[in-house]
Amino acid sequence: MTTLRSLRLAWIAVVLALIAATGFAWLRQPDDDEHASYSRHLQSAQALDTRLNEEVAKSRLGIVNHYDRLVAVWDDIAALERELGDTPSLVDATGRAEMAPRLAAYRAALRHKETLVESFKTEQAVLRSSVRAFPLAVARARDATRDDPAAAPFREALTQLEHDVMLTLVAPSRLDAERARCALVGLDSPERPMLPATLSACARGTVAGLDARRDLVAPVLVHAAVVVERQPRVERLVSSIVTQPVRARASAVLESYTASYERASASSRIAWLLVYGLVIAALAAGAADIIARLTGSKRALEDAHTRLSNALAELRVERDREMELAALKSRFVAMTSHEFRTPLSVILSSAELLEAYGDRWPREKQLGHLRRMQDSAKGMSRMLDGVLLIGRAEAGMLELTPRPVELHPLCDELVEQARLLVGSERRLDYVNTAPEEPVWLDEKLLRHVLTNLLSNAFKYSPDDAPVTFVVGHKDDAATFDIKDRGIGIPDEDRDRLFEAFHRCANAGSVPGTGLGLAIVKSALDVHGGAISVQSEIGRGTHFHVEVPYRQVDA
Amino acid sequence: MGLGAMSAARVLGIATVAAVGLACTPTPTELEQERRSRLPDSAFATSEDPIEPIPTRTGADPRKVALGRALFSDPILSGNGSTSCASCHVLSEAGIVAGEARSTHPRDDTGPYNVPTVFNVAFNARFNWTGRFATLEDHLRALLLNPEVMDAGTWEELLPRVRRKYERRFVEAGYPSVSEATLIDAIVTFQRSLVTPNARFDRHLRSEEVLSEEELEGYEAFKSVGCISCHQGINVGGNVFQRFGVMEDAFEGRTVGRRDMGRFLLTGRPSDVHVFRVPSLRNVAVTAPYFHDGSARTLEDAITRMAAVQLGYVLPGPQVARIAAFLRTLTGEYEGVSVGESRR
Repeated sequence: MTTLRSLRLAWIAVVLALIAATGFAWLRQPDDDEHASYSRHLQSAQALDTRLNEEVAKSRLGIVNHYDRLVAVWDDIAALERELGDTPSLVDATGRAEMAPRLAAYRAALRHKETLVESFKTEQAVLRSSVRAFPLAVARARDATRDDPAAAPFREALTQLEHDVMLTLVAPSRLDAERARCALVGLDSPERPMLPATLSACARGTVAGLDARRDLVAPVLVHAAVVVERQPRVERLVSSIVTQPVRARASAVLESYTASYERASASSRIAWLLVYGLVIAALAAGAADIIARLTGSKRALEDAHTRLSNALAELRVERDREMELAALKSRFVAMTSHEFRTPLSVILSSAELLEAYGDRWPREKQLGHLRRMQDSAKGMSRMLDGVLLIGRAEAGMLELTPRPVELHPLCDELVEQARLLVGSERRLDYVNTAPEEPVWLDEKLLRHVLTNLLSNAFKYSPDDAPVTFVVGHKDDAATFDIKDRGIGIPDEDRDRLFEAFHRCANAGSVPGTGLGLAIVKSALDVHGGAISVQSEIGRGTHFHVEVPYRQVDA
Repeated sequence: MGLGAMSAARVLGIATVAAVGLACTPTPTELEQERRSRLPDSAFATSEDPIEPIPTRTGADPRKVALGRALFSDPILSGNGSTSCASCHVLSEAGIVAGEARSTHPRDDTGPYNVPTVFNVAFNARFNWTGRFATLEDHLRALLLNPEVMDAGTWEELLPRVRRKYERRFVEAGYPSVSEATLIDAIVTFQRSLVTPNARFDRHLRSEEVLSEEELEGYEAFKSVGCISCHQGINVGGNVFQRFGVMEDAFEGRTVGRRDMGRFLLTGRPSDVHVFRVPSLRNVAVTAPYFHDGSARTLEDAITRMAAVQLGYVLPGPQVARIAAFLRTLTGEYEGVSVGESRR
């Protein structure tokens, strides 16, 4: 019962743990959509950076000649940056702490890149204008002096400048740049220095007629200066933009984010494993509980069945006893009605006759009636004794009280008694080979046994048939053999021979109570003795009795 | 990867330009045409036109646009109930206050900012002359709460005012309720719908219309002079910052005030002094005056000054006239009516 209860408690505990673990696992379960979108954002951040670089390069090379696409890519990057601000909930505190500086670094790189890109656009626009305008200005200056033979050196200088400037534009080598700058300085007017002071070391040549052509030269110089100055600046900007570690920073964020995700999903896996384990445990506990309950109820059923069977058996025994008792009672009533009524009616009639005729009857006849009355009363008394004895035996009240008994004097006395009772004319062969010394026996019980057997032997045999009574001994028991040559016992009565009030079918009119042999059996049972019978109808009966000595421990 | 190849192609291209320049004495326009005709569609040649037409359709939800339009012109958004967005951006007047350089932005010693048109803001990369705002949402949020502009007070004060009048219309427009986000979204959705397609130039780009000789020459000049370097893309500008006065000092002989400092006010970088967002030239013919301070009253004035201070050119009168003719072809239509129709 306690096993069942503890099983039940264990089962409930497991189920509660399962619910808790499921909730926990559910909470720890990384949001897959969130994860997918965040890692996609991080990957796009890298891809977009590459696209931005590509757009910058295209713009720089003049493949794309407007900034809308660059702006569009940047808008995407800015939108992505906002998205990346929302760190997914699956990232734990450690992950956040690790990601925060990396995200900040990514943002810083982006901010710097944004500034660089804006500068690039601005500088690139100016550079492009001048790259377009410069050859036109040169062409215009050359065109204006075409007809002047004296301007040949001027035109030569223009051509040289154009060549050098264009070279710096397409192949910005240090040497070309220096040459271009020197050529520029050669054309520059002293009052409007447009080049950095570092270039003043370059040799200054003079070109004839320069002052007169100031208006023509000015745009050439302006644009040349722009190209020479801004070309390397734009190249530097492009180089800075491309080398901005945005991609690496985004990659670093992705790396720590991925680590966080791995951690989260690992702990989620463990949590789910716990859940699965608990599910199995719950199932097992539930199954065990059910099995235990089934087993328990089966056992209870069997117990109940056994109890019921026992009760039924007891009831049967009870009923049988009741029936036996009822039978006994009815036999007793039948017996008493017959056995008691007869002597009573004898007594009554003798008493009535004596009352009416006693004074007129002779003495002999009066005595005869008085004797009959006495015999009847004695018979009734004997029968009552027997009934009481049987009653005591059946109630288990017959007690064994062994005492040293000398079998010779006892048996002699019993034989004497029997002879007195049946008359001296009946023959009794008596042999006693029992030991002379006293043996331990219950004398009272032995008297009941032997008296009854002897009396029966005489009662159920003809007057002329002798009765043999042999007393002997065998090991630690006394043996008694009583033989008669009487009517015998029918086979059908053998089984119930020792039952109280049972009388054999051939008992006929022989007076008897049916108690004798029942008393014999009861007495022997108490004493631990045994009785066997050999009998033949019309030839006689032989009872063999063995009574063990009951040496009482001193 | 292809960078080396590109550089080689460039050498070739520029050498060609130089050769052409030596061989004859063409006008700048002729030279540009020459260059275009001589250069095949190679990697060096610009593979795209620098200006793209404005799409004729916006995918905006008409219910939200209608709601945004109502809010745009409703003075309850302002703190004193007298100013609406439309007070400065008059849609019938090309999205500005006609002919005035008026702005209620924080004033300084040199006068008000010129109000930029609200048309085609959808295609701008940044907003305001200094490019302070990266999104229209940020821009609107700041202007609503700016005590110098709308002075709407706090959101706690503004939203109940809007809610009383517009609660039902917001729900009808598909918004869950009136909130900061939905109010901003409604107005910005409307702003994004303010596009002016079908300019004659766009129709020309789509080969639907033939421009006049002068207009085409103007476009060529616009490109060859170098205006196109900044004024490019779908909005012919609006997507790049540039210093006002690259070649010359744009403020020569004038008092320079805070207003003229440009992006420097925002970044504090010396390189950002006088740097402004390059404005869009869409509808430029009908959105005078020009420049951040409205100091150029006419298109021709603006072209001349721009060529001088930005490009180092003194453009001759006919050239200016041609470019102006081209710029007039950039005037589009709003809801089927030519922008600024009432003014012409």
